[in-house]
Amino acid sequence: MKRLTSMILMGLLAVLMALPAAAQGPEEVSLWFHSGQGSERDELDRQITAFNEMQDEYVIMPLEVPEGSYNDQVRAAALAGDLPCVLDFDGPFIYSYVFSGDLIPLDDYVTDELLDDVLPSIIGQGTVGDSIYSLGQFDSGLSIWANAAMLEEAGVRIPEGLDDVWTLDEFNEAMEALAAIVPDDGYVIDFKFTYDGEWYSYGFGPMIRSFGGDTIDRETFETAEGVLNGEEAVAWGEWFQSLFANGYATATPVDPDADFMEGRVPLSWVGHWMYNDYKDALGDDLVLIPAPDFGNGAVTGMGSWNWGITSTCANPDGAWTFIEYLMDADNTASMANANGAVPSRISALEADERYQEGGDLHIYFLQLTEGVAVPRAQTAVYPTISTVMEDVVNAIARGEDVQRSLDAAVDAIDSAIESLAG
Amino acid sequence: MRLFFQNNLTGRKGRDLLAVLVMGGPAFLLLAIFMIWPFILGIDLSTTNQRFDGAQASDIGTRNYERILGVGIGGLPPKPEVFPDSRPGVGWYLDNQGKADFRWRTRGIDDLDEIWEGLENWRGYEVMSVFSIGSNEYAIFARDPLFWRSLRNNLAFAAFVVPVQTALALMLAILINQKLPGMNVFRTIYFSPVVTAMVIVAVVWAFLYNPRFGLINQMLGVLSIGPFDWLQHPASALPAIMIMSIWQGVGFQMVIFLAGLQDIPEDLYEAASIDGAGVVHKFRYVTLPMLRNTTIFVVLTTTILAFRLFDQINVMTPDGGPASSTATMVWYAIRRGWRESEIGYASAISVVFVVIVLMISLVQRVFVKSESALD
Repeated sequence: MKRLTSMILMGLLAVLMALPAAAQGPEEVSLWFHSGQGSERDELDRQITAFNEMQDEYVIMPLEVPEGSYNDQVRAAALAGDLPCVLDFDGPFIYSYVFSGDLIPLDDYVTDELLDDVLPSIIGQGTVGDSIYSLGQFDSGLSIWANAAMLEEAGVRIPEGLDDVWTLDEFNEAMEALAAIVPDDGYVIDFKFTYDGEWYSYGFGPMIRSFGGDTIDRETFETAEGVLNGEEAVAWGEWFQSLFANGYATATPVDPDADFMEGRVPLSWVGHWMYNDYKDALGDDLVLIPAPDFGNGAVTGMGSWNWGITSTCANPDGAWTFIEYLMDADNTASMANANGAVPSRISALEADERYQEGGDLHIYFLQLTEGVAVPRAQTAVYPTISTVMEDVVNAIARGEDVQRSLDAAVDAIDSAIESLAG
Repeated sequence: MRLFFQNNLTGRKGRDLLAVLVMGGPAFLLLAIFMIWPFILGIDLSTTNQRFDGAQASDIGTRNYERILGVGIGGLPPKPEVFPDSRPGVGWYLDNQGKADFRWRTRGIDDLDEIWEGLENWRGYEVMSVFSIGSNEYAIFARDPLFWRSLRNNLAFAAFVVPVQTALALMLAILINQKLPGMNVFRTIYFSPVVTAMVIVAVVWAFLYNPRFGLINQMLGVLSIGPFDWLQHPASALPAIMIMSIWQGVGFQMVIFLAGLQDIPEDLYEAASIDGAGVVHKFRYVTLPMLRNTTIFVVLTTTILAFRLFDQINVMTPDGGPASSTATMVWYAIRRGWRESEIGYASAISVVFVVIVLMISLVQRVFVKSESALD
């Protein structure tokens, strides 16, 4: 027995001694990223490989983490002290991560030259207090993808820009007109109810705001009472519910992407990430309709996945070298090309025809720069808002009582605020 | 046989103990490391407000338990003749199904007793459900209604699934215990759902239950029944999950019953035949008594599995909906601890959950006292 123990110990020792020897050469920098759409993953893989090959100081060790429970896994890793060096995360979670001390400021690394060429919305999303904590390769675009041929058939007007967006009445009339022409196995508007996680806060928070409500009181950030369950939010809920009750939308789609691409559904409320697939399927019939004005001005979402350096990172210089590489104008451009998002470098944006007047994605550019896009709630309880929005949007779509569902959502958010305050 | 075992046991008690330790040791060790130790840690955590995200934890004594278990009944003001158009902060309103509901938003209201005597007692509680006795209105107030709903759903699930699944398993076991050619094929078919991962089964069934495109509604549509919103309606969501769970799990209990059936000596049936017993009598007086221990085992394990209900929920109705009709205790503990990062509170939920399951198992043991065949 004793001999066996000492043999195991000696073996362990040998392994330990071999480790530093093996670590000679490039320094390893761990990285987590969300497994989003395929073309986005491939492009990131390509950029990581290119980075690893172009220099021999650092080597990036990527790990792909499922998107639906990404934040949960980050939090668990933070508690266990297992966070990677370079962390990819969805914009609004930054307040919670900074509050927990998981991220380090990038102020000492970023140059004015870089910041001058980055979209203000990206800097806004990455800034907490007076420090910048994250940078992203792209910002998001959210509005309605439409099948122009079907809209013309139904006689529905296609807005030109932000000055003539649909009103609530016009939106409702469009629903009615399109319902008359969709095939039997189709419906009018796809809300991507097959998604889980962050989508519901990102996609429907702006709608509530356009009705005059919000997900939290943005003056104090101390309660959601009267905001998420006030008259305006209830009006949104009842209207939204009616879309499902009237059969214009379905809360239980099987393959909504295919429904839109195969011409069974004329409208799709979704973000930029569907652009490439939709474009391949519909070609010139694909048209982007700006976010409607539901009464309190047109509102859409913004912010997307971005990169930060964790406080447990042993090699922040290496992490920054990589982030700086990602933020290179060419790399942001080719990423945006791969996933249909808005590139974060202004120079890349200006060089891209799709974002210019008459381009497919011009609306996204306008929404982001003309103040239609609003960031998600800047609060450390954002993870709870995200969870609660997923519940409440699903509950309302299923036909549950709007007031009771929104009240429950407010209770959950307020109890999280109280619990965080201690 | 019985005598042989007994002599062996009494004759070698000392060596027997050693054998128990050597054979059982690894299992006991694993149990201690992965079950008992975490549970002790969980009890410790349950008295704190520990969170996943960084914030400092402090000892808060039994406050988590007070919140979980805080429940009571209080009087409500009478329903108005005409319901208001806009929803009052505290008061009656009609929900979108035309059902009267009591809204309870106490934030910002200084004195609730001014609205109705006694309401101030329930500040910090939520209205779980309202009911009336005669002309008086009452509400069940709970500090954490979702916990009680989860418990109720768990109990309903167990109350239906345990007897039905056990009976069905016994029936299938008897069916495939016939000595007919090709029986192995049926055994494999009945057992195959068990070896399929629950998550996969749940995904497939979620498609089957799809209200518009699902196979089930389309088949019912041929008979002009439905369509039903299986997983989207509070009344049908839990039953739908029960049916699917029984289908998935019944094969396992069936195999255990099958082993029990094959253990019954053939001469007992022969003797019964000579005494003139028919099929029914043989089943009632030979099969059932001989399967007593098997049945106890099956009922106990099915009960525990029923209370552990989580995978199906997490896939098919991840938000515990509709109207919390599919929330279960394990689902709720994971949601609070993992998604909402309140580890301390979730630990308290888990401790209460373990105590409840333990009590139910003990009560079952008392009712069906096993007479071990080896005694």
